[in-house]
Amino acid sequence: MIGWLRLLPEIVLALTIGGVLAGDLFFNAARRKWLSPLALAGAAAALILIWVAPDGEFGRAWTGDALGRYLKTIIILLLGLTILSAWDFDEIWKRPRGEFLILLLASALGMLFLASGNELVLLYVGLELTTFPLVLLTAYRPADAKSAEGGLKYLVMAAMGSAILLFGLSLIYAATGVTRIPELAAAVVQADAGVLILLGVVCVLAGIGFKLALVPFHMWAPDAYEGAPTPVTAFLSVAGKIAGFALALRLLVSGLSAAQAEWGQVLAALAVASMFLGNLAAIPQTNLKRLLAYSAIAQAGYMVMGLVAFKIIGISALLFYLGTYLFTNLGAFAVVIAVERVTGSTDMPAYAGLAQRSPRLGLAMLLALLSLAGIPPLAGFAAKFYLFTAVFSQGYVWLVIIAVINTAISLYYYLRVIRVVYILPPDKNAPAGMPLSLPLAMVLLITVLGILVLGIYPGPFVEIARAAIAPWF
Amino acid sequence: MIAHVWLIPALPLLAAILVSAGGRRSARLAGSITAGAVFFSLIMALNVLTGLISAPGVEQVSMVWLRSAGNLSMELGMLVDPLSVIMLVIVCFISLMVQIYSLGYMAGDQGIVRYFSFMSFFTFSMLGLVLANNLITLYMFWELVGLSSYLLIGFWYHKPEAADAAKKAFIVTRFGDLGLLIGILVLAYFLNTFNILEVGEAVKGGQLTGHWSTMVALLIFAGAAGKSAQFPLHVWLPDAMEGPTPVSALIHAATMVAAGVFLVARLFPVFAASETALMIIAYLGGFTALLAATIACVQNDIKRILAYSTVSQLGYMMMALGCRDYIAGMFHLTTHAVFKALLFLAAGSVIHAVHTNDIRQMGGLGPALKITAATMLVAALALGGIPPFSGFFSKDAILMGIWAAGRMDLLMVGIVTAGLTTFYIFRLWLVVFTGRPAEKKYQAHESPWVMILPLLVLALLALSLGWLGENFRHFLSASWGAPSVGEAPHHRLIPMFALLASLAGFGWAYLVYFQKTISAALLARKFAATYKLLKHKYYIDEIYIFLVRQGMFMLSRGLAWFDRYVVDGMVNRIGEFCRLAGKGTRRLQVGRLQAYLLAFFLGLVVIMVSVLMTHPEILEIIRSYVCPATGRVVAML
Repeated sequence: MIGWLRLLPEIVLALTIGGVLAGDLFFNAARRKWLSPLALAGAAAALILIWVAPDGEFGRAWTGDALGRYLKTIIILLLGLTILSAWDFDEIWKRPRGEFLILLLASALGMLFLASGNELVLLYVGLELTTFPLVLLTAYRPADAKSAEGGLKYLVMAAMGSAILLFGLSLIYAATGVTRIPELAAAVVQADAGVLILLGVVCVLAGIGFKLALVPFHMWAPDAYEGAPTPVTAFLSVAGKIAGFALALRLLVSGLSAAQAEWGQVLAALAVASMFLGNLAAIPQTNLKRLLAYSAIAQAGYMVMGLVAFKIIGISALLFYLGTYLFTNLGAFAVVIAVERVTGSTDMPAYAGLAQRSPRLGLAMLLALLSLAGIPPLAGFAAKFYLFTAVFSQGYVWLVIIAVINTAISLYYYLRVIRVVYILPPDKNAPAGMPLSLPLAMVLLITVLGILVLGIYPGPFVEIARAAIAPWF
Repeated sequence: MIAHVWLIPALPLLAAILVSAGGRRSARLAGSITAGAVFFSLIMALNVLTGLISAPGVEQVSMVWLRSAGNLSMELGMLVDPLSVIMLVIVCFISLMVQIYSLGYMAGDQGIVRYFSFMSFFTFSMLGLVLANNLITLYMFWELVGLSSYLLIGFWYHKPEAADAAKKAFIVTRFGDLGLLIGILVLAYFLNTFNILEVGEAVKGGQLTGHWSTMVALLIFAGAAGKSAQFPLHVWLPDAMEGPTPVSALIHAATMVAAGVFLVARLFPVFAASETALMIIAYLGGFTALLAATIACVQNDIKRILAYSTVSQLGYMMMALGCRDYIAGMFHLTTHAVFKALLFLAAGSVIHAVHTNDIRQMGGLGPALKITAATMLVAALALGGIPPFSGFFSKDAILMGIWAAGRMDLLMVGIVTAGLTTFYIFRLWLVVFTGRPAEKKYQAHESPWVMILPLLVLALLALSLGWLGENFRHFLSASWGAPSVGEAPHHRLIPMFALLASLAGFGWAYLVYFQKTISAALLARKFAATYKLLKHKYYIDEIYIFLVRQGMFMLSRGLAWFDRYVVDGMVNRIGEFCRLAGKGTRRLQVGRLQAYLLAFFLGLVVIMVSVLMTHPEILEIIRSYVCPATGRVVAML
């Protein structure tokens, strides 16, 4: 019985999906307005349960531990903030109301299983459950070619990524004969079949690289980001990172730590390529969503350095970075959503003089972008500080130098947006006011507070991240 | 109690945010909100003060902000000891008085919301500065204080003089701040800590000696000299008078300019470790005191006279610090904060009545502005060092400190400056309030009560604060211990000499500007060269401009060439490269799904091959499988 208690957050989220589904079927149009609050309540309940559910294994494939709790907290926060930012985003409510919420909740549920997966097959199934709702959500805009295009590209690439990942997993199984992560860790050390494991690891890296949008597995990201409805893009930008790193932590750091020398080298190369390509390609972008897509590729490059550094110091820095990234990226997207609701555009000219038209939105954009660029005293600075010192302390000085150069490059396009927001005069035809709905205002408030608090006082949060990973080392 | 100390700076910050968020709507309430916030801060500060008096000690509340991989960590924290608590009370009190006064003085100004939110933000920054328990936090607030000063000097930014003065203040203090930052980093390099108490212990323990200690002390002093307007960085303060008068009273007389003095006292062990640095500070302070006092004697702008007086008095405090008597310096800082703020606020009241800064256009205002005249007289007597007003006691303490350090030349400077001080301040008072009204007819009337009330409160303190003397010394010695040489026998003749000098200064001013037995115009003609020199403030501004034009611009032209063709050339190439690379990488994103899949696969293959290449034994295995197979195929053919 106690085993089921461990699974409570997942159960509650699954029940919420059922509730939304039933509500969508049986409610009339007026009552369907209550589906969003219902989903939000489910998320809130899951958040509480994550922290009260007991630790331990469930069956052979699932485990509840400190790392899972840390990741799940970020997942549920992401889910809640996305529901809030989509609250008044009329474009997605043109379809039956429950559809969007069900897909969103299902994707989050998949991530919860990824965060706790302790076995190869469960991890794979969790990944699929995460990805496929996202594909559908990307293609969610009715009558928009870009959305359909982005969705299709995402679908094909996702299928490809999963296939390669699954191939890698089967190679590893072939070499070791086990699927449970703890046994895998022991078996890898003894296994003699080096070549199978190596090939398996490379395939797994490709699968993870696809989720994280690391170069050269990143091609789908800009199209999917641009095509998806903006609240979905916001969700996608963080969900991809959480899913990718959950997979990497469970599979690579826990299961294949014996091969760290191999996958560390490959990831270092991918990190360098992603940082350079992401930052350079972001420079000429004129669409905010595409710009943030390339920025996300570069950010993934920074974060992967935490895996390269390995050890408790590197992984905890990565986990902390993930937390700051949630607030920073969602903050930036919340502004994009707010602007799109009024102007209907996500192109750069729509942001001209935004700070004059709406000082609140301008300030939020400023803080989010400066945090992405890593300017103190914002969250992004603290995250980069801990990550870079961790990588430095493990002897990867050259990698830190490259990351710092890239941070400088990234300032260029972040500041370019800030210039548009703060210095350019607003367009004469632009609407004077920028009304802000209450849920979106709440998202902005929460993300800005997160950016400030994590930046000014990161100490305790770094300790939490440390405690989450400490049992492994 | 200590746990709640953070509320003291937090309240003004909150008020600043609240007021500016309210925008136009809060115009009527802005002043009341910010003044109310600082009022509660003052109550709490007094509470901490009484607590510390009954139970002396040093406490700190701190949290680690960033911890680098080494042992060096950056904290955000607060240090509560006598030194910081005294500064807390001074800052809160003067800020409260000035903000109440501003309710009247700034009434009807267009930018009143901006004004009060900046004032409140300044108060927050200054409180954060005095509370800082480590050098990083201190430096951050040090810069925030500079920023608020910049914003408030340029408050009337549509006036070109105000905008220029704001820029000048910011740039000149920047020179000093750079020194401070380098000093902090060098200090942390040697001592491996930013914490002020740990720095103090480490330096006392002899971990920083010799040339390095002198260098660090002088670098940090550069920051102090910038903020406290010491020669040669004093030029910004007189220009800063372009800001509203209450701003001058709060920032450029009582609190921010005293931050340099506070900094030296805060880090006193670092300075005490180097005899050379102390000597330089003492003589630079003395020189500044004398230089500024002489300039003040011939100025005609009421606020500029007071500005030079501030520079001079800050030099006085530096002298005390340089002679190891940091307590005397802090004591004079305290009394000076009160009477100088009072002088400025009273001057503001005069300006409010007659709408000019030129004392030659005033005259005979005494009967019309009775309370202003009376309170300003109290402040003038305090500044002039006439017993029993507060300035007498603190000036006496400084002179005794110099005497105890055995620097007779500086003692002479101190006494002469005291005489000059009395002369210029009574010149000001007599010209403004006595004699015939100037030909221009104006309807001078007393200011409203919100402006008068702070004057009266400050006057009461300017009169009585000096009697704290010994208690103050005893209380403050808990911070860094009693100064090592401060216990020399009290020399009766020194206050006598100082008093005689003051009386002489007063008498001279009386004869020239009240009795008119000596004609000021005649004197100016007789000593035309000296007069001109003083009038032009020793041409220091002109020298700077010359140096900047000739020396620096020449250097600049050379550097500009280098910059344009070598550095810019490189940067442009890099920038161009980045943009081209950006365009190029964008071209990689062709949009065709086939290309995406190809990239995916090629990437995978390249990674696989390169991983296998690093494992020769695996290559060997593969070859052993593949080669026989191909061999067989070949044989079959």
